[in-house]
Amino acid sequence: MKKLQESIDNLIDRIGYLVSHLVIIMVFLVIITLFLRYVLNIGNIALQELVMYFHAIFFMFGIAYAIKENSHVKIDILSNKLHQKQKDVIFILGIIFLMIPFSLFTIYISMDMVIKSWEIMEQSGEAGGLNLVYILKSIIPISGFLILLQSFSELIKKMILIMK
Amino acid sequence: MEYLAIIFVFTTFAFLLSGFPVAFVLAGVSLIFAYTGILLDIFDYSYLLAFPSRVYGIMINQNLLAVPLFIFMGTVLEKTDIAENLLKSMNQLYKNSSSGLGVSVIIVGTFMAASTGIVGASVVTLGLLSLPVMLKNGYPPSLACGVVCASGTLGQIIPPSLVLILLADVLSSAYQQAQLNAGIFSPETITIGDLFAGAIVPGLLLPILYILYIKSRNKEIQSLHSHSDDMVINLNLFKSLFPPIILIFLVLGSIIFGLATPSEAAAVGAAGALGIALIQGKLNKNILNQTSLETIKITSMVFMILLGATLFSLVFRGFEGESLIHQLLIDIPEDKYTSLIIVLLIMFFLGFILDFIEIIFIVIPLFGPTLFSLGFDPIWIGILIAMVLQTSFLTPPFGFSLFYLRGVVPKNIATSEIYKGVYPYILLQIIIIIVIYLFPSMTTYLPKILFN
Repeated sequence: MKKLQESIDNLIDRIGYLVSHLVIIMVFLVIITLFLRYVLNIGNIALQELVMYFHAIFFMFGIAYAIKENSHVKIDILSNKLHQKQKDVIFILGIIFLMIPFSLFTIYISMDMVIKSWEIMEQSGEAGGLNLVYILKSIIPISGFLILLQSFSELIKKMILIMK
Repeated sequence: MEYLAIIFVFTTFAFLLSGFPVAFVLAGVSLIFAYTGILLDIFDYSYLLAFPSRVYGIMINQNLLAVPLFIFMGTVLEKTDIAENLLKSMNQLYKNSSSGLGVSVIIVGTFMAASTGIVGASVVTLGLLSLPVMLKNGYPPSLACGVVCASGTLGQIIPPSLVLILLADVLSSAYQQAQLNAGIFSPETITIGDLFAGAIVPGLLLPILYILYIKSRNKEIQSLHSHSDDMVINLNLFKSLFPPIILIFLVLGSIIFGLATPSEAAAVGAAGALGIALIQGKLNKNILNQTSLETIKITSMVFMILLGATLFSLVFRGFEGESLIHQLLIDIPEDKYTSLIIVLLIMFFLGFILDFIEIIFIVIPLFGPTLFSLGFDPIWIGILIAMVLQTSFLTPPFGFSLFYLRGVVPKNIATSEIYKGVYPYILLQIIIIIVIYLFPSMTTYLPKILFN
């Protein structure tokens, strides 16, 4: 179990590290679009959409990483008064009844949309855009899957803590 | 049926207090209610089916691209000490007057607020930098804490704040919804630029009032410092003072004058921050890694709350919550202004338990369409909301800024000193809110002449 949990953490860590650097690329791609538009007078839809794709990957894949890094905000005015053990129990219940159902729901409910998009190899709505809409839509269930993985990891971590 | 919507909302709030991450409470509790409702045959499954396309809509929203880019710019300025050096340089400029230190905290806080737009970051940074200096220079602890807290919180209202960016997005869809409901099929919209322009007057008035207040308390500061050092304007001062100020004006100017969209301006700002760091020799691989990781953590946190709140409002609508709110605001109050005041008060109290992101994404979609159908100006409403939220974050005992500040104040200073210090600023904010309420043109005039 501990092994499984550690390899999940490792995987999510690596994804988070890789994906996080997209923000730097996004900054420069937007600057390039601006340069093309205002200096060379060339509009480039594909480049703009590329930034959009990177942005979607950035924040959707980052959700699981933020769970691992404990960066999702919580309201702790009441729970601060509890013992660590009680807090851990609340967290375990939260993972089982709130976080895991949400991740499963995200995968399940988006499948239909994603499969339809792959079947027709959905094109961009804009002329000259990136014709990879099916990949963009696939980000949703994949992100759900990453959240599911990280929920398991957190669950195991808390279980080990509470057994002690 | 509608009472289910009420139970749903209150259950969600109760679960929020459990200390489990807000975004997942919103999403999870919504799912529990929705599926129970489906089992009991009182909830329409099609509301849940709308979720994936809503998520996709968020993914391709061009305005929201500004969120990671501004967060990145802010963390670069913070992690490379550019923000810190700015404050130190300001301190040097003001060495000759005892309230000067407080004034420079306000001015730097204003710039920091404008550049990062993240309240937690600016309160903590300002506190770490300036509290020790102020206490050493004979500032009463309450005065020192108050000025840090109030200036750090200015990040809510001064463009390009994250609050205004997110607010504009949510307000414009609520505004369009209201117009569609009224049978207007080519609805007007409001943009981030509109809200930024509307925030300029209040955003300038507040720091000016703060400065006047600090000046009025000049006598209480027993300065231990001998005023031996004259103004030291050297090359270093120049180097740390001007680049960030120019950067901020560049970013703000390009948005307000319509040269660039907020996302583009944010990219320019981020590139500029990287450029300054590079010139000052502070840019290295380690800093880039740190700022990227910090950015993805904050950004994904924001967007996950957005996803959770999307699910929450879908389920709320599924239980006919919208008609409930409509009744609440239409039936009870005597006139539309009473409705507005009630909504603002609700937001003020919610500000104690929820972060601004949650309030914007949860509360405004619920109340917005009804408010706008009463015919209020969306920019005016937007600024009023931002001001009320800012006041709420400053109000003891639950205000978020107070928590942030408590984290960096020396242990020997009592929490009551912090509370005592912020009261005057709360009062000043309430005055400004009343003035804006009485004179809406303070917020609507600038957008009108800039964009029409």
